[in-house]
Amino acid sequence: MTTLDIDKKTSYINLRIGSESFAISVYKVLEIIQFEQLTKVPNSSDFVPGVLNFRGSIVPVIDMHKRFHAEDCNSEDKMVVVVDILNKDKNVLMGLLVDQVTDVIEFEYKEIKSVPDLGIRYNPEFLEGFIEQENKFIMVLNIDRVLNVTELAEVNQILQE
Amino acid sequence: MIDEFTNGFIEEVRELLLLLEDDLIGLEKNPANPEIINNIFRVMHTLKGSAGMVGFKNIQDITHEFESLYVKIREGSQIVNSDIIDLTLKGKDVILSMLEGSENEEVTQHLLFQLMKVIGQSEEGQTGFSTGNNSSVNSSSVHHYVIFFMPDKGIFERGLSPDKSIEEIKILGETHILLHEKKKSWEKQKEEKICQTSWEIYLRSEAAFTFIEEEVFLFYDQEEYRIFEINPGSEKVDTALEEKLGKYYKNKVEAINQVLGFFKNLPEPEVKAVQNFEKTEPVSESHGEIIKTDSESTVNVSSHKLDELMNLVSELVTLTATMQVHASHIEDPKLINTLENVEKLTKKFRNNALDLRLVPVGTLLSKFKRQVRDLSKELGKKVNLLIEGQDIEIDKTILKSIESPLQHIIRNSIDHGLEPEEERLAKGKSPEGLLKITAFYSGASVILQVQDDGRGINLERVKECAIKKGLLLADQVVSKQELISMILEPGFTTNENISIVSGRGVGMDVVRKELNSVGGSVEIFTEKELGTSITMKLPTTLTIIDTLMVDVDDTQILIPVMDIEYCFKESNENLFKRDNRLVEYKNNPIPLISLREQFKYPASEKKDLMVVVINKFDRKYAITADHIVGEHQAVIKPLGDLFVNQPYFSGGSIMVDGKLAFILDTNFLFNHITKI
Repeated sequence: MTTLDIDKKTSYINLRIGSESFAISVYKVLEIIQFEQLTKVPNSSDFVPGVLNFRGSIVPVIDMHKRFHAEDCNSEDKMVVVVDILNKDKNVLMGLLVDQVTDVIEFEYKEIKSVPDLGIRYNPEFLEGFIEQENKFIMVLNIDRVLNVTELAEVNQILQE
Repeated sequence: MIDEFTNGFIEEVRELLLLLEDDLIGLEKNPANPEIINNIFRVMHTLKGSAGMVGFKNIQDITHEFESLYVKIREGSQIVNSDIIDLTLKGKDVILSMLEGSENEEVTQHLLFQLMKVIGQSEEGQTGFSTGNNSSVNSSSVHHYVIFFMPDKGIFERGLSPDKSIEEIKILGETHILLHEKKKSWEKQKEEKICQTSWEIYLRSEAAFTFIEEEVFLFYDQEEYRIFEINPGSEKVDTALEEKLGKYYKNKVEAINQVLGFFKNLPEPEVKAVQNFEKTEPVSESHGEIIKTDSESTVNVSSHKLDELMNLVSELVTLTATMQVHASHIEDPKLINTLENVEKLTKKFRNNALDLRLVPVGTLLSKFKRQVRDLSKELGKKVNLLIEGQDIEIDKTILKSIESPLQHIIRNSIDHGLEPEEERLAKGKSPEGLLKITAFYSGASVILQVQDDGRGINLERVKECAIKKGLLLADQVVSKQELISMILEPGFTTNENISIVSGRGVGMDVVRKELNSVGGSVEIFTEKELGTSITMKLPTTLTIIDTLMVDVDDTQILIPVMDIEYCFKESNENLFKRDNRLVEYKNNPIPLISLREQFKYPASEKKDLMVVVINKFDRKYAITADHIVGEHQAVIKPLGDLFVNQPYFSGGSIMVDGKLAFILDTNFLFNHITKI
C-alpha cells in the first residue's frame, strides 16, 4: 500500500452515479470497462445485477444506484469500475456499475473536507469527505466500507427469501 | 531461507522413510534380495548425509548405526530375519519422531542398544575379516562412479559453467577426468560460447549417488549427464555403461578394462580398510553394479502457487479461444494457422499445469502395507495384501482426504471381514486372507476398490440393528442393497453396535462424509462367505470437473457428470400437469425440481423439456432444464464471498467464449428435497 502523504497530489477517478459526482482513489481501481451484458446469478438481490469475467476471475458487479438509492437515469455510457477492496484482510475484486466515468482528477489529501453531520443523504461511513471543484461537490468514497462484503452478502440473502 | 531448507529436508526424509518402509516389507517377503538390501542401505546413507547438513545430529547417529547393520547384511555376515525387519521398522518410526520433534529418548536408547547388540553379534560371528568395526563402516561409504557429462551446446546461455561443475566433482573425491573435445579446443569453445565438449569422469568418493545428482547436476537436464556406479572388483559393467563406452571407444572390452583400471590407478585412499572391504565383497554379487539413472527428484511447491498457475493457464485458454473467434473474421490463413498452434500449446500447457497437482496413489497405498502387516500380526491373521494400479494419479488434496477413510476400511476388512486361519481352512478357503486394493481410471474419475475374501457383512445383524435404531420397521421388506446402504447412514452405528455387528459398520457414515466432501462417493457390495468389496469413486482433481451444460432461461448451468444418471425429453404438459412434483423414472416416481421455479424465472413455454435424473447417495431426483447444450470440462472458480449465502451453486466456470456458467450444487438440491 501507498503511504498517505497529505501534501502530495493523488489521482482520483471521477464518476457519476445518478445525478451526483463521486471520487475513488486510483489505487483502488484496477480497470474501467465498458458495461456489457453481465451474467446474472439466479436468486441474487437486484443490487447485484450479475457477475463478469475479469482476467479469469468471477467478479460480482454492484449496481451503485441500488446501493445509494439513487435514481437510475439509464445512461448510455454506463461503465463498470473494477476495484480491489479489502475485506477482513483479504483482497476482493468487485465491479461498480456507474453511470459515467467522467475524468481523472488530482487533489491533495488535505483538500478533502470532512462530512457535515447533517444534510447528507448518504451514510457518512461511506464517505471519506468531499471536495469542491469548479463550484461542484464531489464526494470521496470510502470504497472498502461501501462494499463491505459481509454486509452485502447478508442483504443478498435477505432479499432472496 | 534456512527454514525453507529444513522444510525441504523434512519433506525429503518423509518420502525416503516411505520408500524405506516399502522396501522393508518387500525384504520381509524376500530376505535375500540384494537390490532391496542395497536400497535400504542407500536410504540410510542419504538420510545420514542430509541429516548432517541440516543439523539433525540424532538422525545422523541412528542412521549411521543402521548403515553399519546393512553393510553387514550386504557382506553376508548378518542374515535378514524378522528381528532385523522389526528393528528397522522401529528405527523408521524413531527417525520420524525425531523429525517431528516428538522423540522419546528412552525408546531411542533402547533401539540403539538393540541395534548395537545385533551388530556386535554379527561381528563376533565372523572372524578374521575386519579388524575393527569402524573401518568397515568407513569403507562402506566409498563409491566408484563413472560419470558422463555432456552439456548442451547452449549451456553458456543458461548461465552454467561446465568448468565449475567439474570443479565441484573434483572436491568430492579422487578423480580422473578425460576431456572429449570436438574440432575446436575447449578453451576456444568457451570463447565462442558454444559447448561441444563432453567429459568422462572417474570418481571415487564417499558422496552418495543422489548427492552428486542433486549437488552437481541440479541445473542440468537429464540428457546432459549420466552417472554410473560401478564395482571395480567386478569384471563386468552394466550394459548401459557398456553401450555408452562404445560411443567413445571402438573396442568395448578394452574400454571396460580401462574403466576398471582407472580406479586402480587412482591415488591410494587414506583408509586402508577400503581394500579390505573390496576383497571381502564377493565379486559375483550384483549390487555393486546397480545403476540409478532415473532417480526422480522432487520440488516442493505451495498449492497456492499452483492454483495461481492454474488460474493463469485457464485464462490463456479462454483468451486463445477469443482470439480464434476474431481471427476467423479476418480470414488470414497464416494467422489462423498460428493460432491453431497456440491453441494446441495452451491446451498442453493446461494439462501440464493440471498434472502438477497430481500424485500417484501408490504414495498413499504403500503406507498401508505397514498397517496391514502390523494389524495382521496383532490379530494373528495372515493377510496377503495385493495392490494394483499404484501409478494412477490423483489430486494430492483428494488423496490426503481419503487416507483416514481407507484406513478405516482396511482395518474393518482385517478385523471383521477376514477370518482366522483355522476358520478359513474349515471353510475350505486358503489359509491366507486376501486383501486387494485396486486403483484405476474410469472416465474422469479414479476408482479405488478394497476387496477381501472374508465372511462378508452379516446383513441379518444389520437389519436387526436398523430395526432397533428405528431406521426400519420390523416387518418392512428391504432389498439387500438397501440394507447395505443403511450402513452408510449417519448415526447407524454407535460404539456399542459396531463390535456386535460382526460384519462392518464402523463409522462407515464418516467414510461417506469424507468422500462426499471431495466430490466422491462410496459403494459397498458384499456376499456372504465370499467377501466384501468397497468401491470409492473419486474425482481426479478438485479444480476441474466434467459437467453437462444446460440452459435455464438465459442462464447456463453446469451439472457435474458424476451425479447424473440419465437424461430424457418429456413434454412440458406431462411434467407439470399433475399436482405433485414427481416424475416417473424406471417405473418409480422420483421428486422433480424445476430449476426455473427455483430461480424464480417464468415457467417455460416450450413444448418439451429436458429432464436430468440426478443420483446422489443412491437417492434419485430429477431436474428440468430448457435444453441440454453439451458436455463441458469446467475449471471451477469460486463465486466469492458475496455469494456465500447463495446455496444453489458450488462455483462458477468461464466458458471458452468468455461467458460465465454456474455449477449446480447437487448436494443442496438433495437436502432441499429431503426437507420437503
